[in-house]
Amino acid sequence: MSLLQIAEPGESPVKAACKGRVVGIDLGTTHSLVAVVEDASPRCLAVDAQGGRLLPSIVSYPPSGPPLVGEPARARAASHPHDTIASVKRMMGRSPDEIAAQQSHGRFLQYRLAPSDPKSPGVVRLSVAEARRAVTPVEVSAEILRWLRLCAEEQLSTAPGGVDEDDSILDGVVITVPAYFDDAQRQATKDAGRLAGLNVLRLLNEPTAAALAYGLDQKKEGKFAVYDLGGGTFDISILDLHDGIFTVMSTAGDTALGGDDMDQALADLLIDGRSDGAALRLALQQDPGQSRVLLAMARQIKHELTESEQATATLPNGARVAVTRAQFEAAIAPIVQRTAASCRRALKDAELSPTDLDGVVLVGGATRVPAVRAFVAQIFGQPPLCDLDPDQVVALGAAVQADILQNARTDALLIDVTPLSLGLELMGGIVEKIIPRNSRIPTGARQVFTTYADGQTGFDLHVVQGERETAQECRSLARFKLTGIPRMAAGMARLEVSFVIDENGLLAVAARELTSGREAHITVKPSYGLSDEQVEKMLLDSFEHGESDLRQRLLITQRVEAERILTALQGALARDGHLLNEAERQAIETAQAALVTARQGSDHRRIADAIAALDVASKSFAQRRMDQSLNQAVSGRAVSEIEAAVEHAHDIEGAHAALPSHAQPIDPSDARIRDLGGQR
Amino acid sequence: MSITATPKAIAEVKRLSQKRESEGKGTPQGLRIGIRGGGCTGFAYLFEWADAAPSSADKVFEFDGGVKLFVDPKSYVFLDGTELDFVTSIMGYGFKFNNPNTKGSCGCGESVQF
Amino acid sequence: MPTARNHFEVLGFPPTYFIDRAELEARYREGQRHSHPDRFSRAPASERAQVLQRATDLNDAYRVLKSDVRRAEYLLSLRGIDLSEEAEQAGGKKRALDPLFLSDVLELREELQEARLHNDGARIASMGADIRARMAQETQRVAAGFSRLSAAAKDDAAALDALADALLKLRYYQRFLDDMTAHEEATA
Repeated sequence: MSLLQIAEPGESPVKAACKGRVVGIDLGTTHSLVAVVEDASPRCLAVDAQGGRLLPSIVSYPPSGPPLVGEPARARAASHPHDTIASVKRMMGRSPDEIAAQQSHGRFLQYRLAPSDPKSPGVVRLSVAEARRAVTPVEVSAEILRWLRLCAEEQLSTAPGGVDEDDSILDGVVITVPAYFDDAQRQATKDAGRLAGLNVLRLLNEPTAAALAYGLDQKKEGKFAVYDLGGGTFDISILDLHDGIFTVMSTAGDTALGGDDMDQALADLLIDGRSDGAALRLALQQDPGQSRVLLAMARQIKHELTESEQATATLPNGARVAVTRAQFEAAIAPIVQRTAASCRRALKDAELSPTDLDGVVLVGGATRVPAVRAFVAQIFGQPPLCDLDPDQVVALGAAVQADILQNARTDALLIDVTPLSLGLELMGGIVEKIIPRNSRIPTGARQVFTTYADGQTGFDLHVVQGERETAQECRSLARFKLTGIPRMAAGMARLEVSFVIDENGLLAVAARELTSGREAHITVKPSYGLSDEQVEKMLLDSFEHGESDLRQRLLITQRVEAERILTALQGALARDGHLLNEAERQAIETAQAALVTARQGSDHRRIADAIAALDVASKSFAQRRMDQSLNQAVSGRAVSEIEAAVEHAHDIEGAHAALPSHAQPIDPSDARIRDLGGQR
Repeated sequence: MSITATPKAIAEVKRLSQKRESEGKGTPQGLRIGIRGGGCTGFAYLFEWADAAPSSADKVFEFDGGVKLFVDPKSYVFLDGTELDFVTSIMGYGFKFNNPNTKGSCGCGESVQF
Repeated sequence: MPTARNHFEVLGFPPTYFIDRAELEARYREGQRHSHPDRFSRAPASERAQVLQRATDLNDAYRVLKSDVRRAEYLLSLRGIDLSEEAEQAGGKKRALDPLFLSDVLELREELQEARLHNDGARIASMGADIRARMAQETQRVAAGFSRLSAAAKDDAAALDALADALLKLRYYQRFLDDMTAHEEATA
């Protein structure tokens, strides 16, 4: 409930209508989270049946039925690499050409590009569901958002009976984007929100969200740098917090740099250091599933090296390799170094030196890497702050901003900037900047241009975004025409072009010929974006695919979950049933039977309850199986047997990991290794 | 049962009371809390200064430093056992009723259900 | 998008070059507190459009008044001296700069080109420092010019011309520096 203030006599406020709920969503490259402000503080909501907070940003499309999202999708990555889309954020707002270029650099190789829709040749389409469907990155992102929405509605709904599709309790959502996202990427994110049936109140820059979570929490005043190294993007922002007002002073970054690149560098290190490296690489290129296994392994090593000085791994061909932290740090040094230029530029744009900063905040899982922390400390001349969970801080900040918007709060306000300069292409391909980068938004600017040829009756306008001097090197946002201008001598016509950037950082452009009064307006729909009609159509399509029936999807997921647990339990009973006495066995079998019945029904809550009940019943069984495995392992056998026993113990852990009481290993990458390891 | 208040809440009420006095808005007799119709789930809290003395039917709770809470008998049915707390958090600061009688609050938290 | 109030009025300052930076920040923040679109996220569309306009005006005014050069240029434009390029393009009278200055800048550009060719980072850095020193000097001239203007009873054409001259030079220097850093960033 909201906090109360003492009113003057007779003036206690009466709220006429109830406001719906608002949430904040961190739509990340590797993980996504949803958070809500409740009891006056933000918290992340569970995104899976185990109560985990991090939803892997992975969507997998089976040949029929709704797509799988999160952990179940991840489990299909190795077996269905083409149909399982990970890191889709890196494809948002990108053109087919850009993706093709990335593929030639060895990225996104596992995906098959579908021919683009003739109506929107600039939109990337991926062939999925065993080539039965083609989806755009926006649709894939929408699946993730839809899932988060579903989870939020489920947990926030107070009415018994759960989610009612027609009467969503979610009033609005704030979705975070990297500060350095350009207009096309922002539009794509907003479209994805719409497609997921969300009312997008605001796109919020990730570092700003992080600072919001930090600053307000600690009631600090001063200037802060937020260093955000996520899975796929890097952002640096300098913010000033004064009297409840956050002002973003500058921002810089790289939308294609992150922890994923570290994994890739480490994977390269694992392979290239070997005599059979070339053959291995070829084998991996032919088997995208295996290359995912390798990347997952690299990620695991990266995590291990956060704590220890050395880690070992088994390559897909069975060979064991060891990596030291020093080797790892040398491999990622170029990646870490690449962030330095952005840091310096952000400081320069803010007209500050490192000593002016009151703190440096770390955001993003990749900032757990010790080399990154050391680097940040060196660049800014002070040890970074890391008291909030770097994985959650962005979502928490988004929830805070959603609450600020929802309640029109006066005690906190955020003033953001536009990350990249916006301009027009002039004759000769030179860019004239209309709105410089790091301008506070909302903002607007006008500029007057003239004709270069006698009798010219039209203008071609090309809107670009970026810092480079030629249009070719900048990002093309939109082209439009202003025609019907009376014939005049060159230089006589006066074309006034105005740019307006709204509070979401989205651009609208208008052009007017001053002597004739001809006008053209355009809300910039980027060249690589979707038209409104296309979004509408996708919305209809998704109904066709049954993706909007939330209850149906929950049901399917719970059934899959039940199936998995039942299978695992069956195996366990067959192998280790002797560990149980008759009463215990009966209790488990009763719970098992209840789950089988529930699974056949259509109430996902009942299935979830039955899963929970089965967990309680089998808890001591799981413990005993673990103990047994470990005892066997240490009772002086051959090394290979010990390894097998440890594997077995892992399997047990795996079989029980889905159950709520064993949900502690929140880090899903552990689960990923385990899942994939089983298929080696 | 009765109504209690945390030391933080008491201190804050005292501070606000002195502030109100210094602004020339008068010295309150106490603080009136209650329940009344309104909000989307039916009831909302009443939480305001009381310039008038309590009526004979009112329940009066007195805390350290002379802080007094007045509750009308009807509201008391719903408020019995409530603890008044004062919270500072990321979202700002304010008072909070920890009321064991509520069955739930609406989404926005502006009103309560019994 | 035209706004009825000029940038000084938007932030409640008299039209003067000498503005207290802390006061500017404070007024800007106070203005945003009351007219940022976030405060009106639930308001009707018509009101939101107005608020958006107010917030935009505020940001634009702040941007102009914060920068010494932009503020000075704006003050001159309020006195009818438009130094913007669009005015030049539209056939306005071109201000003649000292030919000596122009050839000087040309030489500097050649020197920069040369230094880049030889990857001479030290030389580029020292050129940057030199330009900044020149800019500081011109900025002082601007300040002196405005204090003379405000002391005089009415505008003195020669003083205005001197101001315009200093500002144009500043613009050349700034562009030079921008090119320099853009190139360094691109090649870093």
